[in-house]
Amino acid sequence: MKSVRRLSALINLHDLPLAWLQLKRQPVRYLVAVTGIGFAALLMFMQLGFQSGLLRSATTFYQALETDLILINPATVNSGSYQQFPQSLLYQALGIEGVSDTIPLYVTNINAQQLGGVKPTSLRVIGFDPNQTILDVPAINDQRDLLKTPNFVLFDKLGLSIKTGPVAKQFSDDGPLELILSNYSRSFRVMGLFKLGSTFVADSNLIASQATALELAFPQVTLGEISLGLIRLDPSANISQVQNYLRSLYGDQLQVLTKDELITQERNYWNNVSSFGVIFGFGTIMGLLVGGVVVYQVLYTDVSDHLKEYATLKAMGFSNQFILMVVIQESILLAVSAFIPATLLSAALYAGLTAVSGIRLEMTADKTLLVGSLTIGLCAVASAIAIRKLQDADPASVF
Amino acid sequence: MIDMQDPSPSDVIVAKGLTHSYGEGELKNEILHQLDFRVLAKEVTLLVGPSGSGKSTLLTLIGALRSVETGSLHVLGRQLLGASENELMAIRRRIGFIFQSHNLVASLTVLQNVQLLLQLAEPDPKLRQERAKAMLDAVGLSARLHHFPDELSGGQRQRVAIARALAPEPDLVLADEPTASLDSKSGQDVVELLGDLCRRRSSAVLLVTHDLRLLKDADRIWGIEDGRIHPWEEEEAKHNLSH
Ligand SMILES: Nc1ncnc2c1ncn2[C@@H]1O[C@H](COP(=O)(O)OP(=O)(O)OP(=O)(O)O)[C@@H](O)[C@H]1O
Ligand SMILES: [Mg+2]
Repeated sequence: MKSVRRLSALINLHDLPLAWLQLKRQPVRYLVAVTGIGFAALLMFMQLGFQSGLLRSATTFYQALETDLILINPATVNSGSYQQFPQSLLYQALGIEGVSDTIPLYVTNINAQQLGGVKPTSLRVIGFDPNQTILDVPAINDQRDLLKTPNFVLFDKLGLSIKTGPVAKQFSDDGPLELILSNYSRSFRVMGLFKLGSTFVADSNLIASQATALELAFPQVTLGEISLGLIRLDPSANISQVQNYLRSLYGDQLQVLTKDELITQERNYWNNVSSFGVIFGFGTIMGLLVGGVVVYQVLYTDVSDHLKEYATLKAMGFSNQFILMVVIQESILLAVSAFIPATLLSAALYAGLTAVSGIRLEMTADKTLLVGSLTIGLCAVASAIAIRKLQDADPASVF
Repeated sequence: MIDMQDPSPSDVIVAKGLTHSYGEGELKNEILHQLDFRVLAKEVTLLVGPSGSGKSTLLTLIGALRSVETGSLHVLGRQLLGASENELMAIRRRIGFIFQSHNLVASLTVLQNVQLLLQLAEPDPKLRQERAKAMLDAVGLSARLHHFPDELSGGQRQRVAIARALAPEPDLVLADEPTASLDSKSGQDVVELLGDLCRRRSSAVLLVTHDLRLLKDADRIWGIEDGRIHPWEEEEAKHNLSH
C-alpha cells in the first residue's frame, strides 16, 4: 500500500502532471514532435500494410483454388512464370487410391490493350476446362458457360485500377468489349467481370477456357504442357498419405503440395528470395530511425532547456527519479499522442489505397500492436539517451 | 571570537575549520579558509561581504548542494562532511532556498510552482493548494495565481520564489540576495516575512545581502572577506558602505 502511494506520488499524475504541462507550454515543439513520430508510425504502417497486403494478394489465386493437392514443376519459383510440365504426368495420379479427379491448369502472362487504347497491361491468363469448377469465386462459376465460346474471357476488376479500371468501367457502361494483344496478333472479348485481386506478376487476371488461353499464349504455351495440376481426393482419403505416395511416385520431377504449402512457398519467395522483404524491412527500419531521431532531438532540447529548472528542483530536494520520471512520461505522452492519429490516418490511407490499387490493406490488431510497441519502444530508447543530459543538472550551480 | 563548543539544540548551523577549494593540483584555489561560525534558530542572520568573497560558495556548502571536503559543518544536527547523496537530499528537503536568480519552473503557473514544492512536505493535494494560496497571499500575489513566470515582473517573480521557499515551512532558509530586485518597501516586507517564519517555526534564516537597509532587521551579522569570516563591526559597515 505504501509502495503504491509512493509510486503514484512519483508518477504524479493527479494534481500536477508536470510532464504534460511542460509539453503543453511549448505547443509548437510538441506539434513538431508529434508530427515527426506520427510520420514515422505512418511509414511503418504503410510498409507493413503493403507487405502483408501484397503477400496476401499474391496468393489470392492459390487461396481460391478448389483442390486438395497441387502438382507444380520445382523449377517454378513464383506464380509469375510457370515452368510447364507434361499433362501425362498428372494423369498418372489418377491410378492412385484415394484420388478422385485431376484437373490441368494453364497459367501464363500476356500483354494486351483496349482496341484503340494505347496503354498495354500485363494480364495473367488462367485457362481451364469451363465444365469444371476450379476456383471458389461465385462470379466466375456463374459465368463459366460463356467461356465455352472461343475468345470469350472474364476480366478481374480488382486489378491495378489505373491500368485495368477503364476496362471494367467500359464493360459496366457499354457491356462486352474487345481487347487486343499488344502485338496485334489476336483479339479477345471480355464477357464478364469477377473479383480475385491484383498480384505482383500482372496488372490483372483473365479467366479463359483452355483453348482460348492456349490461343492467346501461343507460342509460349503448348497443348499438353500444363502449369499446375490439381488433384482432388475422395472425402475418405488421408491427404498426407496420398501426398507421400505421390511424392515417391514423382520423385524430383514434380512437387506435390497442399494448398497451404503452395501459399507458404509463394509468400516465402516474395518475402525472402526477392528483394521485396528487404525493401519493406528497410522501410520499416527507416521509419523507426526517423522517429527515434525526432524524439531524441525533442527530448534532448527539452532537457537542455529545462536543465536549470531541473537543477533547481534537485537543489530543493527532489530526487533524480522524480526528474527522470518527468522525462520518461514526456516521451510516453509523445508516443501516445503521435500513435493514435497515425493509426487513424493509416486506416484511412489503407482504405483509400485499397480502393485504388486493388491490394487489400487492412488495419489488423497485430499490425497495431507491432507499430504501437515499436513507437513506444523507440521513444523509450530515445529518452534513455536524452536522459544522460540530466547529469549536467548540477544542483550546486543554482546559487 | 565566539566560543566553539559542541553544537547545542539551538544551533542550526555550526562550522569548524570549514575550508573549501575549487580545482585540483596546480590549479587548486582555496576560496574559504578555516571558517568558524554558527547560526541559531529563531534568528535572522545576515552574511555581508564584497563580490567574490565566497558567499555563494558558503551557501552551497550549507545547503548540502556541494560536498564538504575539509573541516566540519553541522546543518540541522547532521554532519555534512562525508554525508551520502541520499543524506544530503534529505537535508535539502528541510531547507528553503531563495536563489540569486529566481529559477521558477517556466511551464508552471505561480500557484503550481508553489504547489510543486509542497509535494515534498504535504501529502494532501487539497491542503497543498490551500497552503500555496495562503503563502502567495502573504507575498501579495493572490491576484496573479494563474500567471506564468514570464508574465510577471522581476520583483513579482522573486516573490513567487520566496513563497515557494517558505511554503513548506523549512527549518532553515538560505537566501542569496533575495531583495536585490525589490523596492525598499517590498524588501522590508520580505525580511519581515522571513523573521516571522523564524519566530513562529523556530527556524533559522541565513541571508546573503548587499542591501544595507536590511542590517537593522537582522539579529546577527557576519562579515566575509577574502574567504575569512568574522563578526560584523559597525565601523566596518561604514568602511564597506563607502565603496
Ligand atoms: N565552480 C567554480 N569553480 C571555480 N571557481 C569558482 C566556482 N564558483 C566560484 N568560484 C570562485 O570562487 C570565488 C567566490 O565565488 P562566490 O560565487 O562564492 O562569490 P560571492 O561572494 O557569492 O560573489 P557575488 O557577491 O558576486 O555573488 C570567486 O573568486 C569565484 O571566481
Ligand atoms: Mg554570489
